[in-house]
Amino acid sequence: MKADPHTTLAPSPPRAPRAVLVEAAAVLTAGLLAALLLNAVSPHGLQLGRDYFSKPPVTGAATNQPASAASAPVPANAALARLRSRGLQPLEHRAAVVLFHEAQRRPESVIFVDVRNDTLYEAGHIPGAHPLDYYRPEAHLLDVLGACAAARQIVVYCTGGDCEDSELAANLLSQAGVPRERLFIYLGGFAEWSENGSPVAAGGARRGLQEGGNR
Amino acid sequence: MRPDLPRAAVGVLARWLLGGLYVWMGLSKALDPVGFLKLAHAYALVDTPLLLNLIAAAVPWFEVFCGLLLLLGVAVRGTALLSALMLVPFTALVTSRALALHAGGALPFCAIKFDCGCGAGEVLICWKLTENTALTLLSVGLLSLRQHGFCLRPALFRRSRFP
Repeated sequence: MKADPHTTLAPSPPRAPRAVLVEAAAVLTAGLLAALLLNAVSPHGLQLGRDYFSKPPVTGAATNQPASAASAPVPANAALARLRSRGLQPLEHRAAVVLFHEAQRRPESVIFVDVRNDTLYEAGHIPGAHPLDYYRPEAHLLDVLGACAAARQIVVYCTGGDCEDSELAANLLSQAGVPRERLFIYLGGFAEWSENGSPVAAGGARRGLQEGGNR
Repeated sequence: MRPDLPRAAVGVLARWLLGGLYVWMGLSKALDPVGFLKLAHAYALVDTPLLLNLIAAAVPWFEVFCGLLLLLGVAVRGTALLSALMLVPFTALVTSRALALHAGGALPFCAIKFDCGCGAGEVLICWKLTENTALTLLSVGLLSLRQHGFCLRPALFRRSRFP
């Protein structure tokens, strides 16, 4: 009776350790090649040549504050010194709210940029915020740069807490030509914004501050 | 030679368990490579962006690849060797991170919970270390096992003398 290869126990012949090493090397090579190929074709794949964690060089203390928020206190944590040393302006919640209302009056002059991913943006964002997934900026970068060209104050935010994506995105915008003195980092991010009962909008990526929110 | 059925059955189960875990954990990272990239960056393993990106891009799919080989029974001992070689440094990294968190806080070591980048989200460190030890032992066991059932091609470069 002929054996079924799928059900018969097939003992491997005794093999020298070297044979196992060669087999492991072959699996390693094939596996790495397959992995890089899959990363290349995957819609979620990483761009191997990009520096995702590029931060601006330390330049000294920043002096710029938005005029309407100059007297507002800024969050007291280690992120402040880091941001200022890199020429970026931290923003606390009250100042962000002030700028939000100013953005409603002058939508071309003040804009908000949400650098979280599209899923989080659609679940809830600051009304009128421009979407710009920092890790996949291709879809929205040109639109955001167009809006930034006209704006005098650009508030960048991410999730808040330990999230550094707003800082990274500000650096990306700066490298793309947006003057650093116009960039403000809302450190508390969307978590602080929503926890304070501030207006939140949900849904897809709409541009400009004409968007309505759950006021 | 008569195949040792109980040992072979244990080998099949071990292979499927290990392979299934690799596929599951690898896919969960491969489908969110940015999340894994951030976690890999938090370990501060490498300074070069290209190297970090290569690690974050390749490791998840490589785990899926190894998992599929184990599930299908292809190059079993070579893949088991790679599995053990991957698990040891992964476990060392996770342990060192947990020790750093432990040193910076008041929590007991086993109460430390964080996302180690292993693919299962936040886990208690002692559970993770137990799991990794078990998976390493499974890998070593598969490496030493010479009888394999339900395999497409247990050895890559040498045809088995047994049908």
